[in-house]
Amino acid sequence: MPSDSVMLRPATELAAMVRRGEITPSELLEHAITRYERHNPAVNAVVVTRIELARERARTADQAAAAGEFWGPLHGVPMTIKEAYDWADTPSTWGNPEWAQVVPSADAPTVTRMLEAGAIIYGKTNVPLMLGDWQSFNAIYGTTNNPWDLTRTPGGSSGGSAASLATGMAAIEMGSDIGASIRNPAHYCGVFGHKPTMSLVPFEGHTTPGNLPEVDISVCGPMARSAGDLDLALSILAGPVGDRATGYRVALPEARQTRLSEFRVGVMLDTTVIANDTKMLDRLQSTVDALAAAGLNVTEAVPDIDQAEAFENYLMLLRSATGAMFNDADYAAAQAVRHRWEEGDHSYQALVDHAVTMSHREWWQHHNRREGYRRKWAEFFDTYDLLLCPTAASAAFPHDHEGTRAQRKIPINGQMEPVVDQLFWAGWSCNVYLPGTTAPAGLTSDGLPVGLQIVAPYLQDRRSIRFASLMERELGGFVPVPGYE
Amino acid sequence: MTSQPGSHGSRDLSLGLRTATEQLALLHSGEISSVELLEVHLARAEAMATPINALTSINADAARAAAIASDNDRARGINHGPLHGLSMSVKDALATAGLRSTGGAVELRDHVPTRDAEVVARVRAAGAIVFAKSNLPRWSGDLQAFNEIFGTTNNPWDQSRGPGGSSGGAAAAVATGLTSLEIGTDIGGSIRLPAHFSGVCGHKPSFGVVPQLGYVDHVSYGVSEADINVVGPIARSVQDLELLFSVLSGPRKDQASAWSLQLPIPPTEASRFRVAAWLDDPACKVSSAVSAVLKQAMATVVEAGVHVDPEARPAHGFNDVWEIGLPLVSAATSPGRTEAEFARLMDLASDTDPDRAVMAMRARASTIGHRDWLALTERREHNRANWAQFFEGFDVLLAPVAFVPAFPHHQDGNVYSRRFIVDGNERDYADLLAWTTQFGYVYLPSTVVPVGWTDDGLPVGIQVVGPYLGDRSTLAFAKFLETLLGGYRVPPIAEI
Repeated sequence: MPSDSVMLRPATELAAMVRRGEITPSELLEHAITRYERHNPAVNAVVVTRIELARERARTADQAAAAGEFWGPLHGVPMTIKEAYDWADTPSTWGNPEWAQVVPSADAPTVTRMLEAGAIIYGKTNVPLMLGDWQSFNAIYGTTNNPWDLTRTPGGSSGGSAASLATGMAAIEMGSDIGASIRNPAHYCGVFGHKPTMSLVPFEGHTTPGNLPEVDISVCGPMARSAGDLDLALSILAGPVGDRATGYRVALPEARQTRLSEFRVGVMLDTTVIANDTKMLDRLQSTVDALAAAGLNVTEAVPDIDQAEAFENYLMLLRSATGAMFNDADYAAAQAVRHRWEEGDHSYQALVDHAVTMSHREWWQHHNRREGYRRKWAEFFDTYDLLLCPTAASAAFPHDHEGTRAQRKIPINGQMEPVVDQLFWAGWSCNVYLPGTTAPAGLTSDGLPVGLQIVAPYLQDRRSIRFASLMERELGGFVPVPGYE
Repeated sequence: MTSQPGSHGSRDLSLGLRTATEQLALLHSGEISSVELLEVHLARAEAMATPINALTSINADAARAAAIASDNDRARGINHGPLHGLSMSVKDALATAGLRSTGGAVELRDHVPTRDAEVVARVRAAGAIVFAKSNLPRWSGDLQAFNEIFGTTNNPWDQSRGPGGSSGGAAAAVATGLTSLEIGTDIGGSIRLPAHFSGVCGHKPSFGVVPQLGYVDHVSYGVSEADINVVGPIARSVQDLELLFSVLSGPRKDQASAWSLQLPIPPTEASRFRVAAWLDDPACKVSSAVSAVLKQAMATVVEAGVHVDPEARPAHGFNDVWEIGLPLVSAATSPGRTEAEFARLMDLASDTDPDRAVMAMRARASTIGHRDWLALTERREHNRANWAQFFEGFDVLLAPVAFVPAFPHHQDGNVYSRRFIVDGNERDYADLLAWTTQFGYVYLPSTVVPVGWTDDGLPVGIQVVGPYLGDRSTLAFAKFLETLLGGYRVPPIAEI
């Protein structure tokens, strides 16, 4: 029986080992639990566990495998999921003490699909309060640390997911993303994350208590330690549920490219809209250079869109969508100061107060502008297969729990810059509903991981994942965190 | 079909009154040519221009060239598709490349699009020849069909009345045989109400299954889609509806790389459907004239052996249409308002005079905060879930289209300020929207088919409503009703 470091291999490899009888689901689960017991006290990524339940399921999976029966492509693979997903009889609090007693009685359809694919879920991973930060701390579960440097954030909101993967506590994970919440944790922790095209993966069972509708821009999606795992997980997760499933089907087109040299990519490593850290940019540039040396057709090119306007458009739509979660008191407080934006205060806080309280008609005007951007992106993709860009403004930043998010700053090239500026790279792709894969692109000179964001055309999710896979093969993908091998 | 062959010069103009399916068969067998069919449509359009005024813009030259090409290709064995050679008009709220498309608004009086609406591109790709546009109210915002550019369309059954709206020109053109088929749009009943008032068939598809890009509902149209709004067929037979719906439906061009649509086939033959009927409600009392026709139709249905449950209701009440449905419709149409109109709506929203309560409700909805709008969509999702549960027990639900038959032209004020007397009671004009919006805001499919005529000789339709994406079931049951009750009849004025 191999040591618990087997848990650092890709999920597809683990599933293949189970299928070949080289390891049993129970053995794999015990490795995951061993690592959980060893590493979780330091990183605090897995915050809810159902270990005995998982052991029981693993034993059933053992018997099935012994009889030559495999439940699906992830038969016997141990995993954790983001706390915000409904997993029957476990808390789904979003880190909010008011919801500390919320325990859904049914699984989210996405959770059902992973279980039907054979995965063994044994725990849930940490999030920031209301999933609203690029850190992952809250009053219920405390703070998740970045395994590469415990004094830094693992990212958020799927920060626990990324840390669980990076430390080999889970073989695959499910995150969610409205503002890079899959992509920035992947970037900060050196793993893979895929933000799917809008509405591809069902959103049901990933909503605040009692709520039903899909939230604009927001998506559920997979995180993993290899691009191949993302592709498999997406094929498991994609497709409608409920009454939409009576008539609609999804079959994502295959990427036609099979080699790096077959891709024509636009590269946009910087923007004038926000400050970006040179050490991160240097790392990304080296990665792009290495890919070009391997035959990739690289052009510096961007969609024909005013980047500052697009950023403001995203923030307006993002904050009007998340404004639905404001309670009446917070809404009234925002109402009282919404005039600041109209009077010319273009600070982030003034924008939030305006966006939360805007009329539906104004929302529609922003939405209409977004639809215009979507056409510009489609035109860009007439020439280029993908766009390569950063995921965030820097590598993982130090924990900072002071004040509000709008007040916090992070060091960029020796200056303190607003942390929310990083939302530029989040919204650049997700505001226009495009798929974005973040793939490990090596370490900065400070030894922190950096991820490259690969943006693909609408519904061409498998293309950005294919590119991530070729990049992984060419340059190496996930590397174990020192001390966690 | 009860029409007698008529004649007009040497040409048999009654051809225009036959179903599109029959016209296609005649084209296919070579008994008629596309050019002949087009000339019949043009001659009928000329004859009906004054009494009905259904069509707005006609491009006869381009259509004749297309018809000749269509005939030539047919002679060479080239098949353009399921609508090969049919000449048709399209509601003026849909952009047609090279053919004026105004949306009924003076701002676009001379607007000639360079690009087709996606549905127009689809019918052209299927072989249809789009030769004309049909009348509508400004930005499709009324239940009659009149505007400053093209004037008023009259009801084929009584010219002192409207054909319904907003797709009123479309329904009147179909009823009087000016076109083989029509494409309408429906956000509050704009396909279903004209079908009912004019005595033709109409299908409001499940939300989202027919692309709506190119819907002209404001000056800078064509970028985004409107909530609740759908595009769908209007025709003289349910089979024609099915034909055109099959051409119109399917994922948007940009979604077709991954998404496909295969609407579920009905679970059994229509005569064995589990049928619920919601034919009246205290919250929107149906007039005695409509009620009498619906009752007689239901008696025939029950006599035919269909099991009908007249008591079954969803878990939420009728009144949600006022609290959720109509506000969502108003919010969906608010982008079309000018800044001045919007400012006026802001003032009206705070009006507390009970006589203007409907106007104030509509003004508040049109100026609604986005957060409040999101709260309404939340309530809608719960009602959608109620309907999904309801339709586990039933295949279709029958309901009135409107509480009255076609009413006399009524052009003063607007949708939210007008009132009229029905059965001795004063009623809000906005009540006309209640039975259609009841199913529209929750995205359900609804087919309208004529089921009888009032003592005054006005047509009455019924809504056949189904579960989300259950379009084929509502069409199938409408076809059953059509066979049982006769369906479309030729209005006397159209017998030329």
